[in-house]
Amino acid sequence: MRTLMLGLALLLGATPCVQASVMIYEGTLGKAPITLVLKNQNGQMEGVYAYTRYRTPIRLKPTTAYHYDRIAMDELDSAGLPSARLHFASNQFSRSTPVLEGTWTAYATSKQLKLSLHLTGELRSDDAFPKGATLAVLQAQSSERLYFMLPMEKSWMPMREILVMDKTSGKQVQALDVAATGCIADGLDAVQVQLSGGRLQLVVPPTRGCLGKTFEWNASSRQFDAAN
Amino acid sequence: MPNPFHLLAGLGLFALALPASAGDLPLRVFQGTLDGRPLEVALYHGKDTLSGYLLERDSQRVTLFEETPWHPDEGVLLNLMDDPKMPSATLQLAPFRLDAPYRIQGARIDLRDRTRQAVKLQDSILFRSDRDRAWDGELQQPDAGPRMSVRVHASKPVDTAVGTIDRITVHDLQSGQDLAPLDNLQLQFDGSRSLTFDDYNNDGVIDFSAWVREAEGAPKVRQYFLYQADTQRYERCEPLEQLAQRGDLRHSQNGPIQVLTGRRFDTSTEQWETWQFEGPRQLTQTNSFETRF
Repeated sequence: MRTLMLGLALLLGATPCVQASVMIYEGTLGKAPITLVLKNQNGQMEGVYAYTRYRTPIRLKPTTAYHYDRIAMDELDSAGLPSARLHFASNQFSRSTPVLEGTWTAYATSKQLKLSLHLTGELRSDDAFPKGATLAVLQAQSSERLYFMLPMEKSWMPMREILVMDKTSGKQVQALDVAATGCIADGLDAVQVQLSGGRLQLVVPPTRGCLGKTFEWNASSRQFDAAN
Repeated sequence: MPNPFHLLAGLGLFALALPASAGDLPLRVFQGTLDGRPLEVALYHGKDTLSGYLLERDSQRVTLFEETPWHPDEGVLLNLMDDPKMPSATLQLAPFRLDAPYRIQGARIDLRDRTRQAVKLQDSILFRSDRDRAWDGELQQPDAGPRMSVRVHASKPVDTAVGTIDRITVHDLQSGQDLAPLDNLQLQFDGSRSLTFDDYNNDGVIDFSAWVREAEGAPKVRQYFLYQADTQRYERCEPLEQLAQRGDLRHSQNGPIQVLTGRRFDTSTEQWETWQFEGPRQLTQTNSFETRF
């Protein structure tokens, strides 16, 4: 039944008509270790990064990837406004250019820090780097204590599970099975975090061919329970 | 599609005889206010992106937007690229669609101190190439550089795809003077990049050129308008136009003008001539050379 639903979902139009790649970098911003995830889809770049110490995803303002020599992306604050600008010294984001250098400049103070990153993983529509690897892709939305990751082998694939991670320890709290939903893992915004009646919910929104799924945080068990 | 504004700005070498292009159409122009002061905003909707410019009408200062991904019905932040590395402000616009007359509310937000200034926009004209629509209006040419503010007046009747520029107006931001307008023109309208800007005669003041609006199938002809210090106005430069008739022109900043006069495929060579201005209106050949391709 699960396979049938997934096949149906794919036939209903959720076919990969886009060329997307997801790149995962690790390195430092100033002296602080960070992880940066970039997604390039049809010439548009999205991104999110997190300090290893805090593990809170910080969203980058989407931009276009057409510029000749370099790309800049704005870091967005909690109000969704640009607070700093990341300049990458290259517009090549792939395994062929594994080192990514740049700068981070705060808008308010003009304080500048060096970005020094190296590629640790890349997902394309047909393969992964390292070859055959499953990469945990950081999601842009998080809660106060939790962040979320999607295990992926390609840049566009059926969603299997959502890894619920603890910000303090960096350890996995739970793995949520979403394989039966027919939903697609395609980057940084596959899951949404919301409060409903004061309760924390994790939502995979329904789309064409995707049934969607909602999980609700159970404070006593300290686990998410399926809400639908 | 790459942002045409940034593409032009990024080119160190300017070709004087670029082929005709579709320009940045459709282009929707809004009139409105920024904190009560008159404002013009032009938005070009590319493939899932927005770009364009913001013009403060009082100062005639024009600032390009950073090309930004955008989806209808979603709000957007358009960075104002007054500094190509670090924008000073962003224009925050509420969700809107580009397919109907409407008003847009928003704010200009200073990225350093977060000062907000209210922006109210009302669409005024949609420049487009659909044959079933007519239009008539003015449009800023934002690539003119920091000294000159240049606008074109153009119109397009029904049953044609290409608009015609009949007037160009120039305001000298340095002196604060309006220069004599160029009237009775018959130039091809290509949106906010209808005019190609370059300092052709290396006098330190920006000049411009445009394709002549010819009947379909007719050979393309380019007209050049050079700033003349003695008259303090822009004038057509026929010697440069005659040179452009002989072959493709190349001009690097502060360098001579080069014209491609021939190409031999049997020897894989190109023949070039080098010309430069000997006076405000006179071109003189200084060299000829051959290159391999």
